[in-house]
Amino acid sequence: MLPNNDPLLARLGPAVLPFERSQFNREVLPGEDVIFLDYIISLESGHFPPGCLRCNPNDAERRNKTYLWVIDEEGLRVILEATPNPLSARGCVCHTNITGRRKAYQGGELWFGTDSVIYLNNQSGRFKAITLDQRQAVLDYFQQVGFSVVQAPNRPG
Amino acid sequence: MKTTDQKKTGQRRVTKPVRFGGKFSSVNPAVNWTASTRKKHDQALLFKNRILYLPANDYLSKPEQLWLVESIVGTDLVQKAVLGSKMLTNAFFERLLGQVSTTFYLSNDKAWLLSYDDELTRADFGPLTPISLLEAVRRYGLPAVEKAKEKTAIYL
Repeated sequence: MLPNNDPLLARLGPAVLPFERSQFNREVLPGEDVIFLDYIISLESGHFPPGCLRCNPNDAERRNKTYLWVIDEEGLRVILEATPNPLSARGCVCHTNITGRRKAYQGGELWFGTDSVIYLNNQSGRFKAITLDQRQAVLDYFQQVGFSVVQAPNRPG
Repeated sequence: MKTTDQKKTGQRRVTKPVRFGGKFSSVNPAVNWTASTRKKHDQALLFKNRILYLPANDYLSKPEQLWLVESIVGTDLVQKAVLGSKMLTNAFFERLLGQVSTTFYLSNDKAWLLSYDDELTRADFGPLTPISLLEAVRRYGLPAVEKAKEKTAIYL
């Protein structure tokens, strides 16, 4: 977790509320703001979590192994997107099941590669990067934590 | 205040065809429908303690999908809309979606529907063409539009 005055945080942010970067064109629905503590995994150690689902990011099977990632004041954390959320009409978790209704710097999807590289994109309707510098800052954050990281296209497969 | 007709029949009077939201309809959407106007195959649902009816329509096939509309336009707007009509008809959805100013975007190659127009999105997808929410839903359906909002982009 970076100190509050770290310049990298300034490049990532400012931290925003869910959907703030889209002028709040959507709202967090019931059940989407419940923090799934039992399923959230911190990546601040810089290591792949034990038992995480790995994949070749070019394989179709990767969709079931997608993790949602968020960088907020608690650091870099992920949750497996396929985690059921019976409290939400969507049926599965979303980024605010990591953050609740609090602010976050950035969010997106990632895959733990079988080659020990993290492949990530910025696909979060709630916390997405909107500038090229923010996208680069995200990559820099992951590298600073200790990961080898590759930017994946911001295009869902 | 009830009209003479309403006092006799206990039902509200159906108006002559008039223009609502750019389309002619035989029913004034501002008038609350009674349960007796419901057709046999209309699906009933309970939403925020109100009974609503879902006839066959072009937008929503199952009551369970109503959350898609909430997710796109917001729960408050849906709640206000159902105060004016218990019947979730095409006209209901078009009126509701038409009053939201949210804009979507098509990628340069028209292969992607996007919910953001910013520096990064333009870098990834090229020049964007705006499209209204209602037009996006008409063309691609509620599930696709909701997903474009949640995931920022969806392949068409």
